[in-house]
Amino acid sequence: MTRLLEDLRKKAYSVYRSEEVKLLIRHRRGVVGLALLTIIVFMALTADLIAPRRFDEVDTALRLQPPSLKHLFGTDHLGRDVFSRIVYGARIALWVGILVVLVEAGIGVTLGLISGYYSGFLDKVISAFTDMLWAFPPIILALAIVTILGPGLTNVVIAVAVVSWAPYARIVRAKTQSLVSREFVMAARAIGESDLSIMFRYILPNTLVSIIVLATLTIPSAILYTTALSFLGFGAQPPTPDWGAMLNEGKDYIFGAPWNSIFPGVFITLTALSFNLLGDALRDVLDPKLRLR
Amino acid sequence: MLTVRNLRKYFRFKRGLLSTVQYIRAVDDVSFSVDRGVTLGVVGESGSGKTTLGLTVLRLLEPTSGEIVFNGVDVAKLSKKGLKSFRRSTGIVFQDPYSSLNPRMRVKEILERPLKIHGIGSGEASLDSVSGVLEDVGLGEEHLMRYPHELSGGQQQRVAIARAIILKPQLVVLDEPTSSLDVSVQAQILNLLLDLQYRYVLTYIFITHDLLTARHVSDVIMVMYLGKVVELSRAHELFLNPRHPYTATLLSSIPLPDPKLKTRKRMEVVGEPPSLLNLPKGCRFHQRCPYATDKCRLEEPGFTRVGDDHLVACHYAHELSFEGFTLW
Repeated sequence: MTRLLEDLRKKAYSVYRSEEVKLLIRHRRGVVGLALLTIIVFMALTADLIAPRRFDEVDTALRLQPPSLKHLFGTDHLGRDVFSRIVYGARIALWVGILVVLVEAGIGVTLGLISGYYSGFLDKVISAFTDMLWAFPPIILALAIVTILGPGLTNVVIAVAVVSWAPYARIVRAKTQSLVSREFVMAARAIGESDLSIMFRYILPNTLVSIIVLATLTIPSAILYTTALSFLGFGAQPPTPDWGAMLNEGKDYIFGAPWNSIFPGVFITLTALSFNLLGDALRDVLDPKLRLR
Repeated sequence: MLTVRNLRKYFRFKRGLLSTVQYIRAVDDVSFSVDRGVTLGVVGESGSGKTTLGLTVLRLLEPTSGEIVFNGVDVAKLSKKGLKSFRRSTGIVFQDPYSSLNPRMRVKEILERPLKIHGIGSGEASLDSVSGVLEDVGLGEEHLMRYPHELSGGQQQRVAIARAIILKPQLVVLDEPTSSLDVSVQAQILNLLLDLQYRYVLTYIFITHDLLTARHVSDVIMVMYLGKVVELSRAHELFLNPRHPYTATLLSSIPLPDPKLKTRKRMEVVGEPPSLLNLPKGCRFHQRCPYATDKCRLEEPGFTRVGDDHLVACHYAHELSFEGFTLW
C-alpha cells in the first residue's frame, strides 16, 4: 500500500521537468515564501490598477482616518490613503532591494573571483579588506557613507551595497579556489584560454547557483538596511511612498493612529520574510553544501 | 621533436610559521626525448611524479629548472605569446573525463573554444571541423548540444580526446586516459587513440600505472620512482630484459590470468615508498631493494647504458640478474 502511494506520488511529480522544481514544490516553507513574494510582486506590477488613489493625493479633510472599507489601511497625517502608498511602496522596496543586491554582487563576485584565482599577494590584500569590512557594523558605515554622499535613494543604494558585498567575495573566493584545481580549468589552460576567459567562462558559470542563493538571502537585509536609512531620513524624500519613510512619518502619531506605522512595518517584514523563506528553500534545493556564515 | 633536459619540479612546502621551507621533489632531474609519431609510456606507482611530469612538460605547471625543447624552442622560457602557439601544437587528456569537461558548456562549445581562441575558421567552417573531429572520435552530431553529464563516461572521454586533437597538435599528453573507465570501454578508447595517432601522426606521452597497457601502446617506456627515472628502454626490451630491480618488481606484480602460474615466484619488495619530503640518501629505492649494498645507501646512481637505447639508474645494472623469478 505504501509502495503504491509512493509510486503514485512519483508519477504525479514526474509531470515537472526537473528534479529541482520537484524539490522546491515539496519544500513547504519555500512555497509559502514564493506565494508571499508573488503577492508583493503582483502589487508592485499592478499598483496603478489596484491602488484606489495616487500615493501623493492629499486630502486634508480626511486626516488620520482609521481603517475602513473606503480606506483599507486608514489615512495618514496629510489624508493620504495608506493602502495606496503601501502598494506603490512595494515597487520601491523591490526595486531598491534588487538594485542593492546587483551592485553588491557585482563588487563581491569580481573581487572574489580575482582573489580566488590569483592566490598570493593579491588574494591576501583582498581577503584582508573583506575581513576588515566584515568587522564594521554595516549600518553605521552605511550611515557614514550616506552622510558624505547626501540623502537620496540612489545614494542609499550605493551605501548599502558598499558595506555588504563581503559575503559574496568570501563565497565566490572559496568556490573559485576549489574550481581552479579542477581538471577542466587545467584543460582550458591547455587549449590556450586566457585568465579572464577562464574566470568568466569556466569558473563564474559554476558558481552561479551559490550566487543566486546568496542573492535571495541578502535581498531581505538590503531591504531592511535601505528602509532603516529611509526611516532615519537619509533615503527617499517625501512624498515618495517608501515604507521606511512612512514608518518615520507615522511614528509621531503612533498612539493616535498606529495604522500609519503598523502597515508599512508589516509589509517590510513580510517582504523580507518571503525572500528569506525562498532563499532557504533555494539553498536546500540547489546547493545543499552551501552554508552562509 | 621533444627533448627534455634535467627537468625539475619542486613544490614549496611549509608547515608552521617558524619551520623551515621544505621542498617536495615531485620531478627531479628527468631527461628524455621523443621523436615524431612515437609513444613514450611513463609508468610508476602513484606519487612517482608521472602526472606532474606530464603537466610540467606542457607548462601547465611552471618548471623549477631544466629545459623543455619542443621543435627547437625552449618551452620553459616562452613568453605569453609564444606559449599560445605552443598550446596550439599540444593537447592533453586527463584521467577523469567528467571533471575535465566544464559542466556548464555544451559539447559544441567545448570543441569550438580551441578554434575560437586560435582564430581558426568561423561560423560554418568551425562547425564543420567540430563535426569532423566528433566523427573522428566516434560520436555524432546528435551529441553536439549535450552537456557533459548527459554523456556516458566513454563518451565524455571521447569529447575530451576530440578537444585535445581538434587543433591538429603534434604532441598529446595522455594522463591515464583509460584508468577511470570500464574495462570494455578502455579497449575502445585505447584503439581509438592508436587509430588517431596513425591518422594524424601524433606523438604521445602516455602516462599510466598499468604496465600491460603501457606495453600495448608504447614504443619506449620510462619507469619512474619517487620523481626520478629508474629505467628507460624500448618497450619490448624492457619486458624481456628489465635491468632495474624496481622494474623487475613491477613486472612481477602484473596479475596474470593463468592458473598454471600459481607457483610463480614473484619478486617482492617490503614496505611503502618513503615520503617525498624525507627522501633517503643514496639510491631512492635502497630501503626496499633486496640487492641494496652500502654503496646504494650512500651514493646516488647515475645512468648506465646496458644496450641500445636502454638506460638504467642502478649501480649494479650490469651484474644483477633476475633469473629464477617469473616476472610476468
